[in-house]
Parts: sequence; C-alpha cells; structure tokens
Amino acid sequence: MKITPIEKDAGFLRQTISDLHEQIDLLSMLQDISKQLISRFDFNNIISLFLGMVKEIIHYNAAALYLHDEQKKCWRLVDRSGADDPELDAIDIQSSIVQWILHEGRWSPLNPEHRTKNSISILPLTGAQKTMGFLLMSSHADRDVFTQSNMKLLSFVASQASIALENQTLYAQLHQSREYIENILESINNGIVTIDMENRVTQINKNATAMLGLPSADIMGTPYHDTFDAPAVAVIDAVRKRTLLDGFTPETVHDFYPTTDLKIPVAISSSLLREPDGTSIGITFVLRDMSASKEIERLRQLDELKSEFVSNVSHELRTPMSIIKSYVEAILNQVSPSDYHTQREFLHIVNNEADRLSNMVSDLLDISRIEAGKFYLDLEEVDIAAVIESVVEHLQGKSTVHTFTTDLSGSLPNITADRDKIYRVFLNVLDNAVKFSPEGGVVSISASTRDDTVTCVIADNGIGIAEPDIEHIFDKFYRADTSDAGNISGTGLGLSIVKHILEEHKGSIDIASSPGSGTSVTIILPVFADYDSGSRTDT
Amino acid sequence: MARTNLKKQLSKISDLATLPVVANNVIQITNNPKSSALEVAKAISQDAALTSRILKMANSAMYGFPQKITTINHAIVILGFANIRNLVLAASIYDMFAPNGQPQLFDRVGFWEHSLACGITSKLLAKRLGIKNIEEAFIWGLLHDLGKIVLDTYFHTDFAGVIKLVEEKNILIRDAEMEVLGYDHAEVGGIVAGNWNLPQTLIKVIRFHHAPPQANESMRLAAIVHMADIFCRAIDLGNGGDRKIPCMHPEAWELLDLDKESIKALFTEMEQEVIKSQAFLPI
Amino acid sequence: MNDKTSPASESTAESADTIIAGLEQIFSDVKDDAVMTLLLAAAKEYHLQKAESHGPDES
Repeated sequence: MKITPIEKDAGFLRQTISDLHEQIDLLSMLQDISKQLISRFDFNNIISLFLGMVKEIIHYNAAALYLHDEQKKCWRLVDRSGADDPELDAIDIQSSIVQWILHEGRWSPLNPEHRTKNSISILPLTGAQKTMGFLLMSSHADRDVFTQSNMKLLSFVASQASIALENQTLYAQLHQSREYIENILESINNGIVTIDMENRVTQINKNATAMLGLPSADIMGTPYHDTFDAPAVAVIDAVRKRTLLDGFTPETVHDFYPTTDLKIPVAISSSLLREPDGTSIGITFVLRDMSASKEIERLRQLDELKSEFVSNVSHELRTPMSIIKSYVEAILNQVSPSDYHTQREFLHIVNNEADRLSNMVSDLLDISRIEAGKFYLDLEEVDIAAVIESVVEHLQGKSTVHTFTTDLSGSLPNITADRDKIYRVFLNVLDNAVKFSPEGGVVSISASTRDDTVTCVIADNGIGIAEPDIEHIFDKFYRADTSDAGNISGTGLGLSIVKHILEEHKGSIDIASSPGSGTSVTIILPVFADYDSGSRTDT
Repeated sequence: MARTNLKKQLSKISDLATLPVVANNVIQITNNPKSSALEVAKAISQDAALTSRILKMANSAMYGFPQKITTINHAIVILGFANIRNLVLAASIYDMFAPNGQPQLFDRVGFWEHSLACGITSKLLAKRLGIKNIEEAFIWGLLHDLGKIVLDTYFHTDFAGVIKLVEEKNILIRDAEMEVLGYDHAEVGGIVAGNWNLPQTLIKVIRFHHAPPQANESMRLAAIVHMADIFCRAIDLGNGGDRKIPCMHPEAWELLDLDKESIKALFTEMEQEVIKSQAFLPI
Repeated sequence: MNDKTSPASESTAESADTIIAGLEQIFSDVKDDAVMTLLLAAAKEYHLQKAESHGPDES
C-alpha cells in the first residue's frame, strides 16, 4: 500500500491556508472572550456567559455545570442548560474515568465507543492550582466536534472562566472582609478616623462623625482640612505632626464642638500605619468621648431640669401658702370681728389658695407615682356629665370674668373610669382654659358620644398657644412662654399628668390652637375599655 | 572534521534519514488546527504497525487511563492531539534509531532511558512552571539529544572517536564533540529537526538545551529541558554518554529556585514517573 | 561506562557509598558553583535516604 505524503496534495494545502486565515480571526475572538469573562465579578453572569460561549462553539444539546464545594468537599450541580438529558444525569461523576479526565484537565469524551444518540463529554475547569469544576455536555453523536480548534477554543474558554470564577471568589471574599471590618469599626464605642499620607480620610466610623459633627456622606477620600471644622482641623494637624515624628501619640484631651452649642472633651490618641517594609501609609486616630458618652450630657440636662423643677415647685407652693398665711393673719389681726363680709371674702381666697396647694401637691404625688410605675386606676362607673358639671361649678365659683357653657348633648353614657382622676383631668384642662384667657371670656365644654367613645371638646378664646409650644406641651415640666400674658403660674406638670391619666384609660387628648385665637382641647374616652395591669378595684 | 563540512555532511543525512511518511502526514495534519480526530486517525491507520504501537503506548501506565483504549480514534480524543502527535513522533524516531541488541561503544539503551527520563522530567518541570501544554514538554525532553543518536548512526567512525575521548579524559561529551568534530550534538540535532519540519519550539529546544539564553523567546522552554537533563544525570537516570554533569545556567535556575527539600521531592517524583513509563518504549 | 538498567536495581546493586563516590566524581568539575553544590548535596541525601528505606543491608 503506497502511502502518499500529504504535503504534496494541493487540495490539502489549499484547505490548510484557508484554515489558517480562520485561525487569525479566531485569535481576535479569543481576545474578546477573555475580556468579557475576566471583567465579570458577578457569579451568575460568569456562569451564563461561559455556558453561552461553550454552546456557541460546540452546540451542545444539554449541559450541566458542576463546581467544587469547598466546605462539603463534593461536586455541586450549579447550573443546567438545554433540554433534560437522562444520559447526562446518569453519568457517575465519581467514576475513575471522570477523575482521570479532571486530572488531565483536557476536554474529553466520556463514551466515544458507545455511539448512542448523543455523545457525552467533560470540559474541566482548572484554576491556578486545582480543578474547580467541570461542564458535562451532551451533543449529537453524528457531528464530529472533536477538532483541534474546538479543543483549543474550549480549553481557552475554560481557563478564562476558571480565572474569572477565582477572581469572583476573591472579590466576594474581599467584599465580605471589608464589610466585616466596617462592622467591627462601627461597633467600637470610640471614634476611629484614618487618613492616608495625603491627609485624605480613608476610614471613619459613626462615633467619629458624631463627635466631629460631620455629615456622614462625602467625607471619604477628601482631605480632612476640607471637611472638618477649624478647631478639629487644628487638633488633628497637631496630633498628626507628632505622629509622623514619633510613630504614635499618647492620649491628649481637646475640646471638640459637634454642634455650635455643644462642647465635649475628647481624648485623642494616634498611631502610624505602616507597610511590612516600613513605608508609612497613613495614620489612625482614636477619639474617646471624655464626657463618658452622651449619657452624662443627658443626665446633666435632666439634673438641671430637676433643680429648676424643685425651685419652681417651692416657689409655686410658697405662693399660695403665703397668701393663705397673710389672709388668715389679716382675719385674725386686722379684720374686725363684726366685718362678716370681709371675713367671708378673705376666707374664699384662703379656700381657693388651699385648693391650689392641694392640686399642686396632688400633681407632685401623681408624677412621683407615675415615675415609680405605681400609678393605679381606681375603676368604677362614672357619670361623666356629672363630673364635668361639678368641675364647672367649682371653677365658676372662682372666677367672675369667665362664663362656662356646657353642651352635654342628650344622654352621655357612664364610663368605666377612675372618678377622681377624671375629675382632675377636666379640672386641669378647664383651669388652663381659664388661665389662658386672663381677660375673661367664654369657656365652652361640649361632649358627645359615638360608637364606644365619649368625646369632649373644651374651647376657649384666650391667648392661644404657639405652634412650637404645642409640640412640647405635654412634656413634663414644660411651661409655655407666656411672657406677653404675664406670669401664668403652674408647675408645668399638669398636662403631662392629664395625658398620662387619659392614656391609662385608653383615651387620648389633642390640642389645637394658635396665638390670639384661643385653644381647643379634645378629650376622647372609651366607654368600656379592657384595663389589664395598671388597674385595681380596691382602694 | 571542519565546520564547513557540517552542512554538507548533514545534507547527506537528510537524504538518508527522513521521517516516515505517516509521521510526516500526522505532523502536517495536526499542524492544521481545524483538523479533526477522524482525519488524524485515518493518517495513522495507514500504518498498521504504527497503529498498534500507538495503542500500546496509549494504554501504558504513563497515561494511566482507567479503561482499555481500543481504537486510534479513542486514543486521539482521550489523549488529545498534542499527545498523539508526540506518540507518533516518539515511536517513529525510536524505530529509526533503536538499540540493535549488540554491544556498542555508544550505549543506545542508556541513551533512550536517559531521553525518556528527560521527557518525563521536562513534563514535571513544565507543570511546576505553570505551563499549560505539558505534553509538548515531554517531546522536547525525549528528543533533546537527537543529535547524539544521529551522529552515532551516520557518523559512526567520527563519533566513536568522540566516545573514546570521553572515556580517556573523563570529560563532558559536548566538550569531546567540540574537540573532535568542531560542533556538538545540539547543533546537529537542531539541523535535523529543522529538516524534518518539526515544530519551531522543538527545534530551538534541541538546539539550545545546553545554552538556554541563546534560545531567545524560547529560553524558558529550553531552560526546562536544560534543567531536566541535569536533574536526570544527578540521580543517574539512563546514560547521557559521559560521567560528568554540565553546569546549570543561572538564568534557568532562576525560573525554579528550589530548595534542597524540594529538589529531593522532585527526585522522588521523577523516579516514580519513570517506573510508570517503563512500558512506553520497547527499550 | 557502566551499562545501567533501571534505577530500582541500582540502589540494591550498589551500596550507597559507591553511589555517593560516583556523584562526587560526576560533580567534580562544577564544585565551585553554588547551585551545583546544592544539587550535589540534595542528590547525596536523596540516595542515602533511599538506601536507608531499602533496608540496612548496604554497608
């Protein structure tokens, strides 16, 4: 048999030349593939791009991608493509042939001798050191896909995909590490600021931004001279210079001004950040809030409030006391025993002041009980109309310039409530209505019932309350600025207690007002309410 | 023999020594990247003896395939085009220069043992260097001393003089070649490989395996074979034709930069792989 | 030159000392080179360890 040297075959030569041209085109395609795969960091993106590329090269019918699960130490099916192929599923991926192919790292067929409908092949994905996965494919057996160029192409695509997957893992790990570090920094109670050698802020946690009074955005990457306030810049500059000289600074205390009216002492320490070879890459500052965080600030404020309250209350208590004292003394020493009229007048005043005192004391007691969590409701059936009328009667007797109108439409149901406390609520609100219309005027009380609630509206046309005050009006100790209406007495406790009582009754209170046009207070009380803890029926 | 005669002498060789047609065909076909396994299988199948040789080699422990490979086509798709081309080359060249059973001045058995060991070691080194196509490294190592066996076959008398000088003075065969012939086996091997249209990298590696830096862009590859040769001599795998070891080029060593323990581990791996490859060539 | 067969038979046929001596000879021209000295040391140790693992029958 004569064997012909193939290079003399013109047809072969022509074919070779044409094929070589194709190879040149292939090289640019390979470059594109590489660029596309390597630039991805999204896992699913990489996988679907990879599968798509392989499909374009050998037009598989079905494919299954397995990746190595590091933790479980087994192969995990990650994606499928194409139709379901039972032959593909039946492949034993633990078999020695599969192991061999994976070890060799080459695209190889699994069943070249057994020509069934489909030919099954494996494309290993080999990373820098180990096999990270493989693609199991089935394609039509009649097509000869095992050409050199296909092998080279697939090998290239597989290697690029492996690199991309490795990068993606590193990227994800890096991302996780970064998040982890940020979490740690945020959980530290101190402020941490890091700058690079160009004085740009590279790391800053929330405590630091709070201490420096900075908005959190747009600080990173900018020199601190541009974003920190002047006092802070001066401090950081000084500490930085020392750090560059000594490699660290011990704690020194400086004043920082997070807001214009807040000054906090902050202890700063620092250290120089260095590469393993010794080059400086930045400085880390640790900021410690010397006012032992904002707790003391808050306590300080509360303390001030309490002192204010105590002196306030003393004053408030002393006033009726001294009035009572003077009028009683007057009756005893100055008023003639036969001047019955004057005596009665003075005794009225004494009575009023005694009431005032008594209310104040009740308020104080209530507040202390509320604070101690010992505020209990003494529940019974209360005729709310009667309560209101009783309050009106009491107040009417004390004022000559005010008129009270009541509109208690029809029959108001009895409500389940603590009678005394509800009395106090209405007393307080109506008293305020009187107080805040010092010129006199009409105070109207209307009450109606709907569904299971009773709604009362108390309105006056007095001096009204300014918007900012309405916001805080239920705060403890809060007293509206009434300087233009003269000094209106009160401890500032009343409305907060009123609100608390109503809330305990599962009711509510609302205030609408504007300066000069009076105030309207709406009280809503449920007829029946489920009182759980906080109520008892014994005294 | 003067240098000027070398080319003339070697042109004589190209008439005498050509690669078998089948081997040539396989090289041509595999040079075309579009070629399919079927085409290559067809070319090989034209030579029945070669076919069975290839199958034997494919089934050897060197490849360790867990099933018996029964057809050339199967061998091609399983082992890959590069491997098959190397197998064809190895088988064909071995046949041309096989040991002929009689005691010779130049130890052919030792020569092929050394060549095989070099091929295996080159493959191991290529892997360590992260080179993807380690099958190519195998053929470089296997054929790097082609020049020696060509000289022994076609310049037998002159080469005998070289061998005698090696024994007398206990020098490197290369040095003896330069003294007696005026050229060395690397040059000869390079020229013959060129005549046979072997791949450019293979030609370069054969030509410069003793002086890798001169291989320019193929320096890394030549360095691999250079180092493989030296490692094989260090643990006496086969016979390099002399009882001296060439000095390692520093540029080559830089590529690996192994410590003592790693070198010993490499030695162990080399011997293990050599044992596995015993049935590969009928040495 | 000795006609060698497979490396396996070598280590049992020759004693470790012979091999080491042989190595010294082979490396004699390149002793000044640092890399070759390292290689020689590795080769010597390697052969010694191999001889040891094959049994204490070598002298």
